[in-house]
Amino acid sequence: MTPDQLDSELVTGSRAEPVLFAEIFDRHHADLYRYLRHRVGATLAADLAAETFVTAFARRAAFRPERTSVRPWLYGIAHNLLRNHVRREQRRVAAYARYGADPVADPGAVAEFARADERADSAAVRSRLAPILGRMRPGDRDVLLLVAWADLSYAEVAQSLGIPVGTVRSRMNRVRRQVRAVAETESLDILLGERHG
Amino acid sequence: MDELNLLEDLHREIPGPSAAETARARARLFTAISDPRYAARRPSVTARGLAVLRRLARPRLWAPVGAAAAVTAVVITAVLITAPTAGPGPQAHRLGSSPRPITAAYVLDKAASAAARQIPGQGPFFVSEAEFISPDRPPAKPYLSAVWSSQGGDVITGFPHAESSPPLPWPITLSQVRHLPSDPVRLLADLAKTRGIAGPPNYVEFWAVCMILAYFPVSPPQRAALYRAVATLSGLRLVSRARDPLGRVAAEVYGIAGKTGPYVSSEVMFFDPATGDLLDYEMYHAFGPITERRCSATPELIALLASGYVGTVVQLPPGAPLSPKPVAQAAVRGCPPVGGPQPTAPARSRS
Repeated sequence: MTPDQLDSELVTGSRAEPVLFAEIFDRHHADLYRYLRHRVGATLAADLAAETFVTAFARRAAFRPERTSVRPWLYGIAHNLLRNHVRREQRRVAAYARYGADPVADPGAVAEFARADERADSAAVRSRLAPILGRMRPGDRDVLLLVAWADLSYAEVAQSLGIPVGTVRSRMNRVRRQVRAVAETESLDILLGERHG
Repeated sequence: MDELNLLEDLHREIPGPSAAETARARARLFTAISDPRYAARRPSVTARGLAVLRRLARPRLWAPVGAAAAVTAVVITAVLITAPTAGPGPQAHRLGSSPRPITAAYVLDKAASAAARQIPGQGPFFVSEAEFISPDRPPAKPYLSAVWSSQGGDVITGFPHAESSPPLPWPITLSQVRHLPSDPVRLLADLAKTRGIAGPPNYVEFWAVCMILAYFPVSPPQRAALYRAVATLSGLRLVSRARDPLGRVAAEVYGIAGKTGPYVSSEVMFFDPATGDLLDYEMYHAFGPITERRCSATPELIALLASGYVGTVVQLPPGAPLSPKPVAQAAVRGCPPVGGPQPTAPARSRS
Protein backbone atom coordinates (compact mmCIF):
# COMPACT_ATOMS: atom_id res chain seq x y z
CA MET A 1 0.00 0.00 0.00
CA THR A 2 1.36 3.37 -0.96
CA PRO A 3 1.37 6.31 1.45
CA ASP A 4 -1.33 7.96 -0.67
CA GLN A 5 -3.55 4.90 -0.42
CA LEU A 6 -3.04 4.71 3.32
CA ASP A 7 -3.92 8.39 3.60
CA SER A 8 -7.13 7.85 1.68
CA GLU A 9 -8.14 4.93 3.83
CA LEU A 10 -7.41 6.87 6.98
CA VAL A 11 -9.68 9.69 5.83
CA THR A 12 -12.47 7.44 4.64
CA GLY A 13 -12.10 5.31 7.74
CA SER A 14 -12.33 8.39 9.93
CA ARG A 15 -15.92 8.82 8.84
CA ALA A 16 -16.79 5.88 11.04
CA GLU A 17 -13.82 6.13 13.42
CA PRO A 18 -13.04 9.82 13.78
CA VAL A 19 -9.91 9.28 15.82
CA LEU A 20 -8.17 7.82 12.75
CA PHE A 21 -7.90 11.35 11.46
CA ALA A 22 -5.23 12.02 14.07
CA GLU A 23 -2.89 9.93 11.96
CA ILE A 24 -3.50 12.25 9.02
CA PHE A 25 -2.41 15.08 11.27
CA ASP A 26 0.72 13.25 12.34
CA ARG A 27 1.66 12.46 8.77
CA HIS A 28 1.16 15.88 7.22
CA HIS A 29 1.07 18.64 9.80
CA ALA A 30 4.76 19.46 9.81
CA ASP A 31 5.05 19.78 6.03
CA LEU A 32 1.88 21.80 5.74
CA TYR A 33 3.03 24.06 8.55
CA ARG A 34 6.37 24.70 6.84
CA TYR A 35 4.65 25.54 3.59
CA LEU A 36 2.31 27.98 5.29
CA ARG A 37 5.09 29.41 7.41
CA HIS A 38 7.08 30.20 4.32
CA ARG A 39 4.11 32.00 2.89
CA VAL A 40 2.60 33.86 5.83
CA GLY A 41 4.97 33.61 8.77
CA ALA A 42 5.19 31.49 11.88
CA THR A 43 2.34 32.91 13.91
CA LEU A 44 -0.29 32.77 11.22
CA ALA A 45 1.03 29.49 9.86
CA ALA A 46 0.48 27.75 13.18
CA ASP A 47 -3.10 28.93 13.21
CA LEU A 48 -3.78 28.18 9.56
CA ALA A 49 -2.22 24.73 9.74
CA ALA A 50 -4.29 23.84 12.77
CA GLU A 51 -7.41 25.22 11.13
CA THR A 52 -6.68 23.29 7.96
CA PHE A 53 -6.87 19.98 9.79
CA VAL A 54 -10.00 20.94 11.69
CA THR A 55 -11.64 22.02 8.43
CA ALA A 56 -10.49 18.89 6.66
CA PHE A 57 -11.83 16.76 9.48
CA ALA A 58 -15.17 18.52 9.30
CA ARG A 59 -15.28 17.96 5.52
CA ARG A 60 -13.97 14.40 5.50
CA ALA A 61 -17.34 13.08 4.37
CA ALA A 62 -16.90 15.01 1.14
CA PHE A 63 -13.41 13.67 0.47
CA ARG A 64 -13.41 11.77 -2.82
CA PRO A 65 -10.55 9.29 -2.91
CA GLU A 66 -11.32 8.48 -6.51
CA ARG A 67 -10.73 12.09 -7.52
CA THR A 68 -7.89 13.28 -5.38
CA SER A 69 -5.39 12.14 -2.81
CA VAL A 70 -5.10 13.57 0.67
CA ARG A 71 -2.11 15.86 0.25
CA PRO A 72 -3.56 18.03 -2.52
CA TRP A 73 -6.88 17.96 -0.70
CA LEU A 74 -5.23 19.34 2.45
CA TYR A 75 -3.27 21.95 0.54
CA GLY A 76 -6.42 22.99 -1.27
CA ILE A 77 -8.15 23.58 2.05
CA ALA A 78 -5.11 25.44 3.28
CA HIS A 79 -5.21 27.62 0.18
CA ASN A 80 -8.83 28.49 0.75
CA LEU A 81 -7.93 29.59 4.26
CA LEU A 82 -4.87 31.35 2.92
CA ARG A 83 -6.94 33.49 0.61
CA ASN A 84 -8.44 35.09 3.68
CA HIS A 85 -5.01 36.33 4.53
CA VAL A 86 -3.82 37.51 1.15
CA ARG A 87 -3.22 41.03 2.30
CA ARG A 88 -1.03 39.86 5.11
CA GLU A 89 0.92 37.74 2.68
CA GLN A 90 1.35 40.69 0.33
CA ARG A 91 2.92 42.67 3.14
CA ARG A 92 5.15 39.74 3.84
CA VAL A 93 6.24 39.45 0.25
CA ALA A 94 7.06 43.14 0.27
CA ALA A 95 9.20 42.68 3.36
CA TYR A 96 10.76 39.66 1.76
CA ALA A 97 11.63 41.65 -1.31
CA ARG A 98 13.12 44.39 0.80
CA TYR A 99 15.26 42.22 3.03
CA GLY A 100 15.74 39.10 1.00
CA ALA A 101 14.90 37.07 4.07
CA ASP A 102 11.92 35.93 6.00
CA PRO A 103 11.52 38.53 8.76
CA VAL A 104 9.07 36.47 10.74
CA ALA A 105 10.64 33.07 10.44
CA ASP A 106 14.09 34.39 11.13
CA PRO A 107 14.10 37.92 12.57
CA GLY A 108 17.82 37.81 13.09
CA ALA A 109 18.36 37.25 9.43
CA VAL A 110 16.74 40.54 8.50
CA ALA A 111 19.71 42.57 9.57
CA GLU A 112 21.97 40.02 8.02
CA PHE A 113 20.26 40.07 4.68
CA ALA A 114 19.83 43.83 4.77
CA ARG A 115 23.49 43.79 3.90
CA ALA A 116 22.74 41.46 1.02
CA ASP A 117 24.71 43.63 -1.37
CA GLU A 118 27.77 42.29 0.37
CA ARG A 119 26.84 38.83 -0.71
CA ALA A 120 27.34 37.43 -4.13
CA ASP A 121 25.87 34.06 -3.50
CA SER A 122 22.45 32.54 -3.42
CA ALA A 123 21.21 35.06 -0.89
CA ALA A 124 21.40 37.70 -3.56
CA VAL A 125 19.51 35.46 -5.90
CA ARG A 126 16.84 35.10 -3.26
CA SER A 127 16.56 38.83 -2.90
CA ARG A 128 16.02 39.03 -6.65
CA LEU A 129 13.45 36.28 -6.62
CA ALA A 130 11.31 37.90 -3.99
CA PRO A 131 10.07 40.84 -6.08
CA ILE A 132 9.35 38.44 -8.93
CA LEU A 133 7.21 36.39 -6.59
CA GLY A 134 5.50 39.55 -5.45
CA ARG A 135 4.70 40.62 -9.01
CA MET A 136 3.36 37.27 -10.08
CA ARG A 137 -0.32 36.74 -10.50
CA PRO A 138 -1.62 35.09 -7.33
CA GLY A 139 -2.70 32.04 -9.29
CA ASP A 140 0.72 31.69 -10.87
CA ARG A 141 2.43 32.10 -7.53
CA ASP A 142 0.21 29.45 -5.96
CA VAL A 143 1.09 26.97 -8.66
CA LEU A 144 4.80 27.69 -8.45
CA LEU A 145 4.99 27.46 -4.68
CA LEU A 146 2.86 24.34 -4.45
CA VAL A 147 5.30 22.67 -6.82
CA ALA A 148 8.48 24.07 -5.28
CA TRP A 149 7.59 24.12 -1.59
CA ALA A 150 4.79 21.60 -1.17
CA ASP A 151 6.36 19.14 -3.62
CA LEU A 152 3.07 18.49 -5.36
CA SER A 153 2.99 17.11 -8.87
CA TYR A 154 1.20 19.06 -11.58
CA ALA A 155 -1.78 16.77 -11.30
CA GLU A 156 -1.88 17.26 -7.54
CA VAL A 157 -1.63 21.01 -7.91
CA ALA A 158 -4.57 20.85 -10.29
CA GLN A 159 -6.55 18.83 -7.74
CA SER A 160 -5.55 21.17 -4.97
CA LEU A 161 -6.57 24.37 -6.74
CA GLY A 162 -9.45 22.90 -8.70
CA ILE A 163 -8.03 23.83 -12.09
CA PRO A 164 -7.17 21.75 -15.17
CA VAL A 165 -3.72 20.21 -15.41
CA GLY A 166 -3.19 22.09 -18.65
CA THR A 167 -3.64 25.35 -16.79
CA VAL A 168 -1.05 24.25 -14.25
CA ARG A 169 1.40 23.51 -17.07
CA SER A 170 0.86 26.84 -18.78
CA ARG A 171 1.22 28.73 -15.53
CA MET A 172 4.38 26.85 -14.69
CA ASN A 173 5.86 27.59 -18.09
CA ARG A 174 5.14 31.26 -17.55
CA VAL A 175 6.58 31.47 -14.06
CA ARG A 176 9.58 29.36 -14.99
CA ARG A 177 10.47 31.88 -17.65
CA GLN A 178 10.15 34.70 -15.15
CA VAL A 179 12.23 32.98 -12.50
CA ARG A 180 14.80 31.78 -15.02
CA ALA A 181 15.30 35.31 -16.23
CA VAL A 182 16.10 36.37 -12.69
CA ALA A 183 18.52 33.52 -12.20
CA GLU A 184 20.31 34.23 -15.45
CA THR A 185 20.48 37.95 -14.74
CA GLU A 186 21.82 37.22 -11.31
CA SER A 187 24.44 34.90 -12.70
CA LEU A 188 25.53 37.66 -15.05
CA ASP A 189 25.62 40.14 -12.16
CA ILE A 190 27.74 37.81 -10.12
CA LEU A 191 30.05 37.27 -13.03
CA LEU A 192 30.36 41.00 -13.62
CA GLY A 193 30.86 41.57 -9.92
CA GLU A 194 33.71 39.13 -9.87
CA ARG A 195 35.33 40.74 -12.88
CA HIS A 196 34.96 44.22 -11.42
CA GLY A 197 35.66 43.18 -7.86
CA MET B 1 21.00 26.37 -11.33
CA ASP B 2 17.48 25.28 -12.04
CA GLU B 3 14.99 27.97 -11.11
CA LEU B 4 12.91 25.56 -9.07
CA ASN B 5 15.98 24.52 -7.13
CA LEU B 6 16.38 28.12 -6.06
CA LEU B 7 12.95 28.10 -4.52
CA GLU B 8 13.42 24.67 -3.01
CA ASP B 9 16.66 25.82 -1.41
CA LEU B 10 14.78 28.67 0.14
CA HIS B 11 12.23 26.30 1.56
CA ARG B 12 14.78 23.98 3.16
CA GLU B 13 15.69 26.75 5.57
CA ILE B 14 12.16 27.02 6.94
CA PRO B 15 11.90 25.30 10.32
CA GLY B 16 9.08 22.97 11.23
CA PRO B 17 6.59 23.51 14.01
CA SER B 18 7.74 23.53 17.60
CA ALA B 19 6.52 20.87 19.97
CA ALA B 20 4.21 23.42 21.57
CA GLU B 21 2.75 24.44 18.21
CA THR B 22 2.19 20.82 17.29
CA ALA B 23 0.55 20.11 20.62
CA ARG B 24 -1.79 23.08 20.29
CA ALA B 25 -2.76 22.15 16.75
CA ARG B 26 -3.35 18.54 17.69
CA ALA B 27 -5.44 19.62 20.65
CA ARG B 28 -7.63 21.69 18.31
CA LEU B 29 -8.13 18.69 16.09
CA PHE B 30 -9.05 16.48 19.03
CA THR B 31 -11.50 19.06 20.25
CA ALA B 32 -13.18 18.73 16.87
CA ILE B 33 -12.94 14.94 16.94
CA SER B 34 -14.80 14.83 20.22
CA ASP B 35 -17.38 17.37 19.06
CA PRO B 36 -20.55 15.68 17.81
CA ARG B 37 -21.16 18.57 15.42
CA TYR B 38 -18.26 17.29 13.35
CA ALA B 39 -19.75 13.85 12.81
CA ALA B 40 -19.50 12.84 9.17
CA ARG B 41 -22.81 13.54 7.51
CA ARG B 42 -22.36 13.46 3.77
CA PRO B 43 -20.73 10.29 2.51
CA SER B 44 -19.54 9.94 -1.01
CA VAL B 45 -22.05 8.35 -3.33
CA THR B 46 -19.71 7.38 -6.12
CA ALA B 47 -19.25 3.75 -6.99
CA ARG B 48 -15.88 3.51 -5.33
CA GLY B 49 -17.11 5.54 -2.40
CA LEU B 50 -19.96 3.12 -1.96
CA ALA B 51 -17.52 0.24 -2.06
CA VAL B 52 -15.43 1.85 0.64
CA LEU B 53 -18.49 2.50 2.73
CA ARG B 54 -19.64 -1.09 2.35
CA ARG B 55 -16.31 -2.28 3.60
CA LEU B 56 -16.51 0.13 6.52
CA ALA B 57 -20.05 -0.98 7.23
CA ARG B 58 -19.02 -4.54 7.90
CA PRO B 59 -19.68 -5.68 11.45
CA ARG B 60 -17.42 -3.69 13.68
CA LEU B 61 -14.77 -5.73 15.33
CA TRP B 62 -14.65 -3.86 18.56
CA ALA B 63 -18.14 -2.88 19.43
CA PRO B 64 -20.18 -5.67 21.00
CA VAL B 65 -19.85 -5.74 24.74
CA GLY B 66 -20.54 -9.44 24.91
CA ALA B 67 -17.73 -10.24 22.50
CA ALA B 68 -15.00 -8.69 24.56
CA ALA B 69 -12.84 -11.78 24.62
CA ALA B 70 -13.16 -12.33 20.91
CA VAL B 71 -12.41 -8.72 20.33
CA THR B 72 -9.26 -9.04 22.36
CA ALA B 73 -8.13 -11.91 20.20
CA VAL B 74 -8.81 -9.95 17.06
CA VAL B 75 -6.93 -6.96 18.37
CA ILE B 76 -3.97 -8.97 19.41
CA THR B 77 -3.99 -10.84 16.12
CA ALA B 78 -4.03 -7.53 14.35
CA VAL B 79 -1.12 -6.29 16.36
CA LEU B 80 0.72 -9.51 15.74
CA ILE B 81 0.26 -9.69 12.03
CA THR B 82 1.00 -6.10 11.31
CA ALA B 83 4.45 -4.69 11.26
CA PRO B 84 5.38 -1.06 11.68
CA THR B 85 6.61 0.61 8.55
CA ALA B 86 10.04 2.11 8.37
CA GLY B 87 10.86 5.33 10.06
CA PRO B 88 10.63 6.75 13.55
CA GLY B 89 7.35 8.56 13.19
CA PRO B 90 3.92 7.37 14.22
CA GLN B 91 2.70 4.58 12.07
CA ALA B 92 -0.62 3.16 11.06
CA HIS B 93 -1.13 -0.56 11.34
CA ARG B 94 -3.61 -2.50 9.34
CA LEU B 95 -6.06 -4.99 10.69
CA GLY B 96 -5.61 -8.08 8.56
CA SER B 97 -7.63 -7.82 5.39
CA SER B 98 -9.81 -5.10 6.81
CA PRO B 99 -9.39 -1.79 5.04
CA ARG B 100 -9.30 0.09 8.30
CA PRO B 101 -5.84 1.11 9.48
CA ILE B 102 -5.08 0.71 13.15
CA THR B 103 -3.29 3.51 14.93
CA ALA B 104 -2.30 4.21 18.51
CA ALA B 105 -5.06 6.79 18.84
CA TYR B 106 -7.56 4.34 17.40
CA VAL B 107 -6.69 1.61 19.88
CA LEU B 108 -6.71 4.08 22.76
CA ASP B 109 -10.13 5.22 21.64
CA LYS B 110 -11.33 1.63 21.67
CA ALA B 111 -9.94 1.16 25.16
CA ALA B 112 -11.77 4.31 26.18
CA SER B 113 -15.04 3.02 24.80
CA ALA B 114 -14.55 -0.25 26.66
CA ALA B 115 -13.61 1.54 29.86
CA ALA B 116 -16.74 3.63 29.65
CA ARG B 117 -18.77 0.43 29.65
CA GLN B 118 -17.18 -0.93 32.81
CA ILE B 119 -19.43 -1.42 35.79
CA PRO B 120 -18.78 1.25 38.43
CA GLY B 121 -17.29 -0.18 41.60
CA GLN B 122 -18.39 0.58 45.10
CA GLY B 123 -16.88 0.22 48.52
CA PRO B 124 -15.31 2.22 51.30
CA PHE B 125 -11.73 1.65 50.15
CA PHE B 126 -9.89 1.24 46.87
CA VAL B 127 -6.62 -0.63 46.56
CA SER B 128 -4.34 -1.67 43.71
CA GLU B 129 -1.78 -4.44 43.64
CA ALA B 130 1.23 -4.20 41.36
CA GLU B 131 4.46 -5.96 40.61
CA PHE B 132 7.76 -4.37 39.80
CA ILE B 133 9.46 -6.08 36.86
CA SER B 134 13.13 -5.61 36.22
CA PRO B 135 15.51 -7.57 34.03
CA ASP B 136 18.13 -7.38 36.73
CA ARG B 137 16.11 -8.79 39.60
CA PRO B 138 13.85 -11.77 40.17
CA PRO B 139 10.17 -11.02 40.39
CA ALA B 140 9.47 -9.34 43.69
CA LYS B 141 6.55 -9.81 45.97
CA PRO B 142 3.63 -7.78 44.70
CA TYR B 143 3.14 -4.53 46.48
CA LEU B 144 -0.06 -2.78 47.27
CA SER B 145 -0.54 0.78 46.33
CA ALA B 146 -1.78 3.51 48.55
CA VAL B 147 -5.35 2.87 49.54
CA TRP B 148 -7.85 5.55 48.84
CA SER B 149 -10.95 6.01 50.86
CA SER B 150 -13.80 6.23 48.45
CA GLN B 151 -15.48 8.58 50.87
CA GLY B 152 -12.68 11.09 51.06
CA GLY B 153 -9.58 12.25 49.34
CA ASP B 154 -6.74 11.15 51.58
CA VAL B 155 -4.28 8.34 51.21
CA ILE B 156 -4.30 5.86 54.06
CA THR B 157 -0.73 4.90 54.74
CA GLY B 158 0.67 1.97 56.66
CA PHE B 159 -1.31 -0.69 54.88
CA PRO B 160 -0.14 -3.98 56.41
CA HIS B 161 0.62 -5.75 53.14
CA ALA B 162 2.40 -2.84 51.54
CA GLU B 163 6.12 -3.12 50.95
CA SER B 164 6.41 0.04 48.95
CA SER B 165 4.21 2.48 47.22
CA PRO B 166 4.71 3.85 43.75
CA PRO B 167 5.59 7.51 43.68
CA LEU B 168 3.18 9.79 41.98
CA PRO B 169 4.73 12.12 39.41
CA TRP B 170 3.74 15.02 41.64
CA PRO B 171 1.36 15.53 44.56
CA ILE B 172 -2.13 15.11 43.28
CA THR B 173 -5.22 14.47 45.33
CA LEU B 174 -8.16 12.23 44.72
CA SER B 175 -10.35 15.30 44.74
CA GLN B 176 -8.30 16.82 41.93
CA VAL B 177 -8.55 13.62 39.92
CA ARG B 178 -12.28 13.41 40.39
CA HIS B 179 -12.71 16.95 39.18
CA LEU B 180 -10.80 16.42 35.96
CA PRO B 181 -13.03 17.25 32.98
CA SER B 182 -14.22 14.62 30.56
CA ASP B 183 -13.00 16.55 27.53
CA PRO B 184 -9.63 14.94 26.73
CA VAL B 185 -7.87 18.15 25.73
CA ARG B 186 -9.04 20.03 28.80
CA LEU B 187 -8.25 17.03 30.96
CA LEU B 188 -4.60 17.05 29.97
CA ALA B 189 -4.41 20.79 30.35
CA ASP B 190 -5.92 20.63 33.84
CA LEU B 191 -3.64 17.77 34.76
CA ALA B 192 -0.67 19.85 33.68
CA LYS B 193 -1.91 22.66 35.89
CA THR B 194 -1.84 20.40 38.94
CA ARG B 195 1.91 20.16 38.61
CA GLY B 196 2.16 23.88 38.21
CA ILE B 197 3.65 24.24 34.77
CA ALA B 198 2.90 26.55 31.94
CA GLY B 199 2.77 25.31 28.41
CA PRO B 200 1.23 22.38 26.63
CA PRO B 201 0.89 18.95 28.22
CA ASN B 202 3.58 16.50 27.38
CA TYR B 203 4.61 12.98 28.21
CA VAL B 204 4.81 13.68 31.90
CA GLU B 205 1.04 13.79 31.67
CA PHE B 206 1.17 10.46 29.84
CA TRP B 207 2.88 9.05 32.90
CA ALA B 208 0.44 10.72 35.25
CA VAL B 209 -2.50 9.29 33.34
CA CYS B 210 -1.01 5.81 33.72
CA MET B 211 -0.62 6.36 37.44
CA ILE B 212 -4.19 7.55 37.79
CA LEU B 213 -5.52 4.63 35.78
CA ALA B 214 -3.50 2.27 37.95
CA TYR B 215 -4.08 3.56 41.44
CA PHE B 216 -7.02 5.95 41.63
CA PRO B 217 -10.66 4.99 42.06
CA VAL B 218 -11.95 6.77 39.01
CA SER B 219 -15.33 6.24 37.42
CA PRO B 220 -15.74 4.50 34.05
CA PRO B 221 -16.36 7.79 32.22
CA GLN B 222 -13.23 9.20 33.80
CA ARG B 223 -11.21 6.19 32.74
CA ALA B 224 -12.49 6.68 29.21
CA ALA B 225 -11.50 10.33 29.28
CA LEU B 226 -8.02 9.42 30.51
CA TYR B 227 -7.42 7.06 27.60
CA ARG B 228 -8.69 9.64 25.15
CA ALA B 229 -6.46 12.24 26.77
CA VAL B 230 -3.40 10.13 26.02
CA ALA B 231 -4.57 9.80 22.43
CA THR B 232 -4.35 13.57 22.00
CA LEU B 233 -0.57 13.50 22.48
CA SER B 234 1.44 13.66 19.30
CA GLY B 235 4.02 11.10 18.29
CA LEU B 236 2.33 8.07 19.79
CA ARG B 237 3.15 4.73 18.32
CA LEU B 238 1.41 1.40 18.47
CA VAL B 239 3.89 -1.43 18.85
CA SER B 240 3.29 -4.71 17.13
CA ARG B 241 3.28 -6.72 20.29
CA ALA B 242 0.83 -9.29 21.54
CA ARG B 243 1.69 -9.77 25.20
CA ASP B 244 3.11 -7.90 28.14
CA PRO B 245 6.02 -9.35 30.15
CA LEU B 246 3.56 -11.35 32.26
CA GLY B 247 2.18 -12.96 29.13
CA ARG B 248 -1.07 -11.07 29.06
CA VAL B 249 -2.60 -10.03 25.78
CA ALA B 250 -2.17 -6.33 25.34
CA ALA B 251 -1.85 -3.40 23.06
CA GLU B 252 1.32 -1.42 23.64
CA VAL B 253 1.53 2.29 23.02
CA TYR B 254 4.54 4.40 23.60
CA GLY B 255 5.65 7.92 23.00
CA ILE B 256 9.06 9.45 22.92
CA ALA B 257 9.26 12.12 25.55
CA GLY B 258 12.41 13.66 24.25
CA LYS B 259 16.11 13.43 23.83
CA THR B 260 18.73 14.97 26.04
CA GLY B 261 22.01 14.72 24.27
CA PRO B 262 22.49 11.09 23.33
CA TYR B 263 19.86 9.91 25.80
CA VAL B 264 16.21 9.34 25.22
CA SER B 265 13.24 9.06 27.48
CA SER B 266 9.89 7.58 26.66
CA GLU B 267 6.68 6.40 28.21
CA VAL B 268 5.03 3.09 27.60
CA MET B 269 1.66 1.66 28.46
CA PHE B 270 0.20 -1.78 27.95
CA PHE B 271 -3.55 -2.09 28.07
CA ASP B 272 -6.38 -4.30 26.99
CA PRO B 273 -8.39 -2.38 24.41
CA ALA B 274 -11.30 -4.78 24.77
CA THR B 275 -11.79 -4.10 28.48
CA GLY B 276 -10.16 -0.75 29.03
CA ASP B 277 -7.90 -2.18 31.74
CA LEU B 278 -4.41 -0.79 32.13
CA LEU B 279 -1.95 -3.68 32.45
CA ASP B 280 1.51 -2.15 32.70
CA TYR B 281 3.23 1.19 32.45
CA GLU B 282 6.71 2.51 32.43
CA MET B 283 8.68 5.68 32.13
CA TYR B 284 12.19 5.47 30.83
CA HIS B 285 14.67 7.99 32.06
CA ALA B 286 17.79 8.44 30.01
CA PHE B 287 18.10 4.73 29.52
CA GLY B 288 21.24 4.96 27.52
CA PRO B 289 22.83 6.35 24.43
CA ILE B 290 20.80 5.52 21.39
CA THR B 291 23.71 3.85 19.75
CA GLU B 292 24.72 1.79 22.77
CA ARG B 293 21.61 0.66 24.55
CA ARG B 294 20.75 -2.99 24.58
CA CYS B 295 17.62 -3.36 22.57
CA SER B 296 16.97 -6.87 23.81
CA ALA B 297 16.83 -5.86 27.45
CA THR B 298 13.48 -5.82 29.13
CA PRO B 299 12.88 -2.41 30.61
CA GLU B 300 11.72 -1.97 34.14
CA LEU B 301 8.03 -1.57 34.34
CA ILE B 302 5.10 -1.76 36.70
CA ALA B 303 2.60 -4.53 36.08
CA LEU B 304 -0.85 -4.05 37.53
CA LEU B 305 -2.14 -7.32 38.98
CA ALA B 306 -5.44 -6.38 40.52
CA SER B 307 -7.38 -3.43 41.79
CA GLY B 308 -10.77 -2.76 43.20
CA TYR B 309 -12.92 -1.66 46.07
CA VAL B 310 -12.66 -3.49 49.37
CA GLY B 311 -14.55 -3.35 52.62
CA THR B 312 -11.65 -2.90 55.03
CA VAL B 313 -8.14 -1.57 54.83
CA VAL B 314 -6.66 -5.03 55.37
CA GLN B 315 -8.43 -6.64 52.41
CA LEU B 316 -6.75 -7.48 49.15
CA PRO B 317 -8.43 -6.46 45.92
CA PRO B 318 -10.40 -9.17 44.14
CA GLY B 319 -8.13 -11.57 42.29
CA ALA B 320 -4.94 -10.29 43.86
CA PRO B 321 -2.15 -12.89 43.96
CA LEU B 322 -0.06 -13.18 47.09
CA SER B 323 3.10 -14.21 45.28
CA PRO B 324 4.77 -12.60 42.30
CA LYS B 325 3.63 -13.61 38.86
CA PRO B 326 6.39 -15.08 36.72
CA VAL B 327 7.70 -12.98 33.93
CA ALA B 328 6.84 -14.76 30.74
CA GLN B 329 8.94 -12.87 28.27
CA ALA B 330 11.81 -11.33 30.07
CA ALA B 331 13.98 -10.32 27.20
CA VAL B 332 12.01 -10.12 24.04
CA ARG B 333 10.93 -6.55 23.95
CA GLY B 334 12.48 -4.55 21.18
CA CYS B 335 13.70 -1.03 21.44
CA PRO B 336 11.39 1.67 20.25
CA PRO B 337 12.97 3.30 17.24
CA VAL B 338 14.03 6.79 18.15
CA GLY B 339 16.07 9.59 16.70
CA GLY B 340 17.46 9.85 13.24
CA PRO B 341 16.07 11.76 10.34
CA GLN B 342 12.61 11.23 8.99
CA PRO B 343 12.54 8.90 6.04
CA THR B 344 13.11 10.70 2.82
CA ALA B 345 10.10 10.83 0.60
CA PRO B 346 10.55 9.22 -2.77
CA ALA B 347 11.12 11.53 -5.68
CA ARG B 348 7.86 12.79 -7.02
CA SER B 349 7.10 13.42 -10.61
CA ARG B 350 6.08 16.94 -11.34
CA SER B 351 4.20 16.30 -14.47
